Amino acid sequence: MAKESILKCSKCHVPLEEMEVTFCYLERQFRHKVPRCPKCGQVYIPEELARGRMAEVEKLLEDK
Amino acid sequence: MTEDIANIAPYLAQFKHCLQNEPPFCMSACPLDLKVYDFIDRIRENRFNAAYKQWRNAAGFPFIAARLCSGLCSAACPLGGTEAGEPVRMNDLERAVCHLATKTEPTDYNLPQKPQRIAIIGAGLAGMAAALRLATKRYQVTVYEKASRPGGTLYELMEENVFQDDFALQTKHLAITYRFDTEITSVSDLADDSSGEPFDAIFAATGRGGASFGIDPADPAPCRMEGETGLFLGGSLTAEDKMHALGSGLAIATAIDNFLMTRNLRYPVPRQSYIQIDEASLHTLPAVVPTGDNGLYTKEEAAEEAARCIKCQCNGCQLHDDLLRYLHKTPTRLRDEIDATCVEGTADIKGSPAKRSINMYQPAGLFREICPVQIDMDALIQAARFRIHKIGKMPWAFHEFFLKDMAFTNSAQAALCRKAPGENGDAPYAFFPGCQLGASAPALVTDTYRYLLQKEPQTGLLLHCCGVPAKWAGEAARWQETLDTIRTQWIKLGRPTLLMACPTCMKTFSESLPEIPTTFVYDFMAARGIEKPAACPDETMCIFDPCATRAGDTVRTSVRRLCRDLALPLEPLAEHERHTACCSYGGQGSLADPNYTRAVIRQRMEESDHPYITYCINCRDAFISQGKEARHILDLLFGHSPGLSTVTERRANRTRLKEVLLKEFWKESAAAESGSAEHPAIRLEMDETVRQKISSEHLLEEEVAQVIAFCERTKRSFYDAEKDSCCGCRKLGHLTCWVEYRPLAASGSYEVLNVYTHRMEIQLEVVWNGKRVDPEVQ
Repeated sequence: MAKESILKCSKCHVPLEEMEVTFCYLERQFRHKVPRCPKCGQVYIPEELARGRMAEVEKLLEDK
Repeated sequence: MTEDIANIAPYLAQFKHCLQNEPPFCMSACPLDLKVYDFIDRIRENRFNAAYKQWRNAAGFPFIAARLCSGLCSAACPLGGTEAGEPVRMNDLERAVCHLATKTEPTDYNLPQKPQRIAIIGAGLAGMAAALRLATKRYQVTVYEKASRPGGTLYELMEENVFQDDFALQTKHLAITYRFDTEITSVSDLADDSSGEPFDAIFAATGRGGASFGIDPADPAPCRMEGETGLFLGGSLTAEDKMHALGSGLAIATAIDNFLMTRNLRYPVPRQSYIQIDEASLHTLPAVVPTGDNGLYTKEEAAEEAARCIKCQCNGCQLHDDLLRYLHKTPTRLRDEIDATCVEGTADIKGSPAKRSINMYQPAGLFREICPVQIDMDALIQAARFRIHKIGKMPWAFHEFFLKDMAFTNSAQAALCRKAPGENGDAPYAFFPGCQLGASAPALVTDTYRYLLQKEPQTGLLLHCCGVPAKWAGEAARWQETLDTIRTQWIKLGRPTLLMACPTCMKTFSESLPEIPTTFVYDFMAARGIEKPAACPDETMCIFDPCATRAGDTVRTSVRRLCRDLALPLEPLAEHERHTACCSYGGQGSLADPNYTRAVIRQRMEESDHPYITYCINCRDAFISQGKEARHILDLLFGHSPGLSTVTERRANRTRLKEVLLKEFWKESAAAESGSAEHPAIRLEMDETVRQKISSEHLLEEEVAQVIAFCERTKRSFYDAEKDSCCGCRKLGHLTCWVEYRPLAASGSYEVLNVYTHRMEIQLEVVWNGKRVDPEVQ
């Protein structure tokens, strides 16, 4: 959270908060908490998440 | 058409002949059907009691069999087939097991008596073995023997105590009724003398030349129904030697058991081994000589001898096919997984286990070549790809990049179909370089076309993709569409012979466009000759034949001739020439599993330390990507040094190639031909690491610019005050691309700091905090 806490939404100029987001891949939906702008709702996915857990879940779903 | 090509059933049916579970040579040769693998394993693990138990279960009378065994298994052992090799000394192992086992007492099973009665005529070895096996199953067994003692001709072969002790030991817990001094001359009125009931089955083991009760012993299945009774002949009456007689007695006991349960009269048939083993599995370790008491093995010696067994099985595909080896899977396992994957619908628990492996597989033609029964794995995988695409199971991520790449190659920006400059008549030849040569090395296309025009001024040009990416992606309609376009353009050129540079295009054409005559451009060059370039390496190199060519193809000879003309010292890649495997590119599996792709390239690289010469640009690029020095034959012929281009450069190369060709040969500008306009992209700056990362993410720099432009326009980004940079994302097709960037006020351009992607889609709410979310964002 170190990096996300210093990030601000370019539009709303507010810090991000961990909030639920719906993700969809290969016709499967699920929810997960990621940093979001509480005001406009835009979502930030850090590289560690994209390359780490997210890639693992993508692989799992591709194998289903 | 679509229905047929997505049908995997005919290819699955080929697996009926798969020899994966066929018995090895020794097991087929053994009259006792001993499971040699397990027997050997137990000895190797010093489990002599377990090995003895298995030997006893197979032989019935283990001590007699160890004395009689003539080593038919050793005679069949392929280790003895090599000049310096020696077969595994199975008979010595059998004898050692009998000697070294400490628990030789038979098991007394507590089973209920069965009502069926069985008569066995003859108390020789086969009769006694059948009696033993049937009595163990608790049938009511009566043995008739004309002599006054059991053993038959065993008296002539060994000391009486050996076989009488074994008979007594193995039958000690069994109830067998013996009728000695009773000769049976007819089976029609044979009945149980205690109950007067007829027997349910009779086994006649009357010895060589003994009574056969009207059945010809030479009949391949000497058995028949005698009223309600099943009558079987066996033992020395039908077998060639004592060991086969023993095996026959044991096998007929099993056949009688089956007959009594199913009423099917089936005579046991010996199994034959059709497996083929790879020569690489053979070794020449000398056999261990027994030094223990009575010429028997000690425990250590037995274990050492057992360890020499190579456990023959039909495993050529598992040794040579990259995918099976990488996944540690047997061919039938892969078949089952493909079968399950091709079923419509999904399940949450591993419903489609082969989705990834279907897309990793390289259709190199090697599997069918290696397989003794020619199972066509390439065709099965291809049908499976069509099938899973059709039923909506193909993950878009595995092929989207390649399909986009193909679409661009075939677009007006890169494709070209022209008769030779200044020619209007039908072209006798047209050059078809394929889609990747122009992307990787556009100068090779230009130089080759210039050469061809010198030799054949009427040579036309066709820049197009052969459509194989659509085929590999399982997109049947798109593939057919591409083939149709090529056919139309070929007709437009006047039905020329296409001069092919890419072996995969060549394979696609010969399989799917057989009406189009083709020849390799390398055959043409070898026949017409080519001037030696000023700079030509003189180091020893190896020709790496692409997997779309096979041993015996003319092009292999042509490429070697071209190398010889360049006076290049060559060293053969003997194994690769015999069993030509893929460099990793075939089937475009790199997005399905990049680690597998790298492992395959490394394996191919390690076949020789010398640099490789290839005549497939994908092989060349695969090797260079992993640090192996490799040249395309055209690099050598035209004196070029190879380099690796990024995804962005490859696309630019294609556009530029068209411009250069039109300008040099037709004196035209490309804009007029393609009608393309410059896109209003923003300018980017980045260091080499980021440039390579964009390429490794299979992204174009133009796409990165689109993401930044979108973030700037919509303010959909995040500001990092510490780094003074922004970060935002946009969906590109299915993929979501994140870019960290910094606006450079001075130049008006943007510095790209980092790029990453994910396949998962972020689903933003339509309404957030009471406001509608900008639809552009989604």
